[in-house]
Amino acid sequence: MQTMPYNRPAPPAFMPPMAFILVFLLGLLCSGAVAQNNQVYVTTELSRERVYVGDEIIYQVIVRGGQSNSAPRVKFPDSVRAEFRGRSSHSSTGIRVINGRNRTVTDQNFSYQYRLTALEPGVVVIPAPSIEVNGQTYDGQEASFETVFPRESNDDEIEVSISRKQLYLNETAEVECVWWIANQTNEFSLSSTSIPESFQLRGLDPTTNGRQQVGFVIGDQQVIGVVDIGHHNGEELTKLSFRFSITPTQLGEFELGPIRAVFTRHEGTGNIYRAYTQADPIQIRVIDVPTQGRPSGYDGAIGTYWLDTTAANTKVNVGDPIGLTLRITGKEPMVGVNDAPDLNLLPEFSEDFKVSSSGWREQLPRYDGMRVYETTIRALSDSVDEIPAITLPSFDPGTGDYKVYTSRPIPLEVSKVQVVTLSDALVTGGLESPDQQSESIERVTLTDSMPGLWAHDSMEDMRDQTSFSLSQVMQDPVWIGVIASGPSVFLCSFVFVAARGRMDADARAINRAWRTSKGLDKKGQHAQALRTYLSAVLHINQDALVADDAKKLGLDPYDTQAVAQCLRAELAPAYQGDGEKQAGSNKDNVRTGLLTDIHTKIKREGVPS
Amino acid sequence: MRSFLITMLCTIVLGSSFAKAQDTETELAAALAQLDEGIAQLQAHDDRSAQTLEESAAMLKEVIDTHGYHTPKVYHALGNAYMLSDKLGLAIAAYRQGEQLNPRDVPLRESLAYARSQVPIKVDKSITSKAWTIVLGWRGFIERSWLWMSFAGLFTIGWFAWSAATLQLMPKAARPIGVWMILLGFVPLAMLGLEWTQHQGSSAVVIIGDDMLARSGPDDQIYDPIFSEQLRAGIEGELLETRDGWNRIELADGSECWLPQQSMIEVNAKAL
Repeated sequence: MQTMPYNRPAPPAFMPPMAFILVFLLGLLCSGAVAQNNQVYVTTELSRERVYVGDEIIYQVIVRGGQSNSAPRVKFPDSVRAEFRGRSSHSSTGIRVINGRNRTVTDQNFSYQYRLTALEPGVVVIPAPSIEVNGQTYDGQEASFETVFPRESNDDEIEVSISRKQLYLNETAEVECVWWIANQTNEFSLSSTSIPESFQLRGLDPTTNGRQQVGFVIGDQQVIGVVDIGHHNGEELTKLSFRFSITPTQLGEFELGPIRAVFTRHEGTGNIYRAYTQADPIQIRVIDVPTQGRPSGYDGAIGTYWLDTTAANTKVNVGDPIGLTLRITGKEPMVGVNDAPDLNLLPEFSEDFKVSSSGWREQLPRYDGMRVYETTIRALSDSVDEIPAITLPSFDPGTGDYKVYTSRPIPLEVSKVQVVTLSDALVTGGLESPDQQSESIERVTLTDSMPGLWAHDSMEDMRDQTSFSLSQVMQDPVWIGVIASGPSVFLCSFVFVAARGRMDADARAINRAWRTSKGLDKKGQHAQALRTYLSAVLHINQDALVADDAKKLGLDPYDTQAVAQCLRAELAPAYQGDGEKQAGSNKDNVRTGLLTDIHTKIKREGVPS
Repeated sequence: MRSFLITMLCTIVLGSSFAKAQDTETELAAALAQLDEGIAQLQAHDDRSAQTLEESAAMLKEVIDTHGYHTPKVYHALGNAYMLSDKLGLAIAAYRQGEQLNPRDVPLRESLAYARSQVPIKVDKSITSKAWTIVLGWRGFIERSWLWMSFAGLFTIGWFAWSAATLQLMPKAARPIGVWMILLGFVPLAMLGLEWTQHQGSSAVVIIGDDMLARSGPDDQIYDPIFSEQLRAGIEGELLETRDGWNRIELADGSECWLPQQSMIEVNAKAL
């Protein structure tokens, strides 16, 4: 079926002025830009408005319409402990009216989550966060929530004991806690326990003896407790025992605790409520180590340590780098061991060795109770015969005295360096005459700051193009020619030999006979095979071939006789009686490989004349 | 007249190439002088040393990129310039480039070893990496061109011997000798081939950005960090895949991770 073409009517003869169109388009663009700028805004959300002390609440900073690579800046008050839980994003699609038209718009939101733990009762006000989005800073709004103590439990009790209440700076003391737990208790938290900021807390592994273990958090540190049954005030109760160590890093008077547990209690009547119990805080005084008798180089170490040094190489030339490793073993947290002892301050090192200016480099990650440091030293002369002992002064709080812990010295063999190479030059072209060098020459490298770097060479050496690339030589026409020449020559020689054999009529006939003979030989007709082959080689008709013709082949006597006997035996039945036929039945008893040997001989020595 | 024109043409061509070579030499000399000045300033604790060293690195890079001056020593100087201006990742990449041109350059290798020792994070080698190190242990001792000559010599002479035996110009014993020479010739070729696969033809990369957060996929919002520690400049790896501005790399211990493309540099790329 055909359709009639539809003639579109001509448009009305109205053309808006060009200036109007331009202004209209510009207006559209500007409105779009304004709309874009207004899309970024920051809000905050709290999961709850009221929370018990010790319980957790989720605080979120939500950025809508923009993306930021940095986390928001929020100053949390001291009455809460905040833990950043990460960023998440989600997008939502909706329909909006933009410039009078319905448009599908996708908004991408980013939220930054914090887990807050309330430490004290009262109203917690979180100031407005600020965040940078596309180079501009946006502020959110303030958020607040109320924290209250739950019901205080009279049935529970927490006992806290500490080894000493007066501690030296950086000294570690152990704190033992026992929480006597009344019946029907669960969902407990010890995270509202107050620990001074200058104290380093470290959970100590308990002795379990097969008892149940419980993990919880105190002062951002994981602590393991053991659940057991014990007697308290004449009553059998469940108890949770745990230990941790504290290491003060500031001088002054501090209050440890209260150590507080918040939990859920189930009453026999079916009533469920949150409750807490806490121990009295402990006053701790932190004093400095005595100045009297303090050895030089003391850097705050406290306790007992073991030092062990190893050298990467003990037979070196003057100036060769020697990798030196120092292991310091002690009891964690090893707060006072911030770095290995400065070797430049030890005269026995600074006089005989050039110590790396970059100092010690700590091997990471750290292992428990061990610090490993590495550096590079260089012997300055061949008279050096050992790497001296390294010392670490430390204060013993038990005796109140200082002790100096030392490593063992390492024997060293240092040889003279006789020759200076260009690579030893300090800078390009700065090579001095070898005559000006002393007998013991220190190998000078690029700079003192980086002793392992070798100086670059002179301008002349820069031109050295010593390099090889397999891909380049494989594409080089000369090398392709060289590599291809061998197989090509072989191919030519093979073709030549084959062609020569093809052009020789005798050779062709022998080859044809050889192929026929091989077939016969395989079928067991050895005599017939010999006859066929020999007739071609000797140019004698098969029927005219006699045993004596075998002598013309020039074989050794034994093989000649074997061939003659075979031929004779084959002819015998035609001329002998039945009795003799029986005797000649072994005509095909020819040595295996005789035919092949004859052919090889013919190929090698040619056809006998 | 014709001979005059040809002479003029040759003079112009030779003259321009000579002038170009002179330009390269002049720029290289200037770059090295700048580097020396930067080192001297560094020794004197002069604050301008960082800028001088960065300028010298840029000049050396220009000599390499623009003039195609790819020599091991120039890469060594470039690595030193980067190293002294605290660009550990770029320094390692430059040293490796030079080391690949000439693995027997002892100062270059030691400078590379020193630069690697400065990387704060050590990545343990996997068994495969260790095996490759053993297989390619000859690199520092045997010149690659010698291996190539050995292959070419054995291969060609072997074929010639076989051909001569076929043409009965030599005894038949020459044939097996020729075959064995051909087979033996493939040993140095295999050594070179393996070396090329692992080094010159590889897609090795060096991280140049510090504190890089490696992720399990090519997006920093969807995928989680894969390591507990951030990766530091100078860590080396092998480029496996590129997608949406992110690279998937394999570290020496065999672990794989995604990093932004601009946080790393390819060792075998010409533009360092």
